[in-house]
Amino acid sequence: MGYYDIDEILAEDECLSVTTKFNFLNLSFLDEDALYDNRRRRRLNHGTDDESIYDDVDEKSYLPESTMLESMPFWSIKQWFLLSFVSIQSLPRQFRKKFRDKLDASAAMSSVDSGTNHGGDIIDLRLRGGNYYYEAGMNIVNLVRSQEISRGRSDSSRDTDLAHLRRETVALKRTILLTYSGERLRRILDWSLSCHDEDVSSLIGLLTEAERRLFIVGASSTTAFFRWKNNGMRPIIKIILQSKASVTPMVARPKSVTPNHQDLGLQLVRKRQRGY
Amino acid sequence: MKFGQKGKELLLDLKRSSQQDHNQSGPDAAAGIPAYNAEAVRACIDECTHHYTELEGLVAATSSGAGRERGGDGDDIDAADGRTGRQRLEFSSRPALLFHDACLNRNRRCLLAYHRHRADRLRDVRWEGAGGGAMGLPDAIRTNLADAEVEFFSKYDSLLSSYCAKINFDLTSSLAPPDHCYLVEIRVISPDVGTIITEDGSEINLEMGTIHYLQYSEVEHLVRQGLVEMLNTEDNI
Repeated sequence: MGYYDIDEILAEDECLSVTTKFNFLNLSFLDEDALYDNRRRRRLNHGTDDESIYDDVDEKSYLPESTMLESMPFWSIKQWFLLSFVSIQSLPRQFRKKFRDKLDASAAMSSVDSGTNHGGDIIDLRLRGGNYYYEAGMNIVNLVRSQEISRGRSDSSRDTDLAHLRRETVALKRTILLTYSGERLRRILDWSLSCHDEDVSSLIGLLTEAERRLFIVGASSTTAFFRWKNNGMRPIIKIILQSKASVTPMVARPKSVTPNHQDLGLQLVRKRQRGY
Repeated sequence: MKFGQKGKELLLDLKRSSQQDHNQSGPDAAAGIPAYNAEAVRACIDECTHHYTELEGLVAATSSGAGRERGGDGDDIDAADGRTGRQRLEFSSRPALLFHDACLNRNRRCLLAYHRHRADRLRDVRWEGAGGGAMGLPDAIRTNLADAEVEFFSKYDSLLSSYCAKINFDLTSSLAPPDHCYLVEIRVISPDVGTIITEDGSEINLEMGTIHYLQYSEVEHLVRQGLVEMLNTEDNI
């Protein structure tokens, strides 16, 4: 949590496609088609596309109304959306209804069925949803919600797209919560607390960053426990959790981990005795 | 979109290195501090400058454009037309201002996070026991640092050492309670460790490859620096 948190910064890089609601001056470099159109228009009107003859800023490069800007990072359109300069016609593919339904179905699967199918029912969220599925999804949900709060309900009555978007994000939030705390969580807890010396890469490869952090915390506490069991006189490693008020309360970052889990990539931090 | 990529590259550097150093522990580890990516940092700063100049230009253009539309002077002569003219102009030029501002802030955030995390990890290195100023830094880490970071390390080291000296207590020593019966077997794995003098006065010559049976409290600092290794592992019990 915080300004300096690497994962939060990287999660804000998730791309969305937005549509401008009016002419955006001086931003034609964002869309190649607009660049071409502007030059063509200038050539038609004035016989030359030399920009320097224009004082009036309107004649220079601008993005016309209803331009679809694709793959804009979240951080760039955040302010625009809050001020209703752009509209989001549709969410990225991994947040749309089809994928949401798939997630809902897998989250609701009972544990009896999943016992026979090791890792087969855990959707590869890393591949299909991006490394930061939960964080990016919640960013979008919170953005739409803040826009709704700041602009009031009057906006949606005039704009059906906006109302539809708001409903979509409410459903997305629900899906995110259910997915995180459903079968995936059960599997994470199970494996992290019991497979301390087995190959867990088949599960890790399917998890997003938030879930990986959780897994590492669990696995390191298990390793510490087994070390303690074997060498009774050593102190138990204290796993310091820094609670992170982001996606859900369950996400935590391990402050201190043990070095033995080679496939999980852990490292010693200070106040730890070396060379056990 | 081509903006913000350099900042992302810096952060991915950090993320990758924090996951890679698990296999090494001891003085060879780079402690999660990858090589200082001066080129990307410079590119980020250049992007910031670019955005700033764009912003300046836009602000100047909008404020002078508003004046020009109403006949040259800044006063609001014709209230109705003047106001709508200015509003219309300003409204559609706002997104550009916001965009460059967002890019500026994004690059700033990436740069600050990058340097902050590196400094944090450097601090951890010091707490692990690599005292002795900039010379105390293991070479593997030293080569990855920028000059400013080396200076930071030596200043932080002197700060910490002087504080510990003032309170007469070494804060970086082990957190485990001392246990007089806590004897360990150690093997010397580094060629020039020298000799140590134990509490009861006997001198022990730590030659390469020898195995000794001593109190942990006396060899702890050597274990932490990785010069000797402990043999009290599960295999040897």
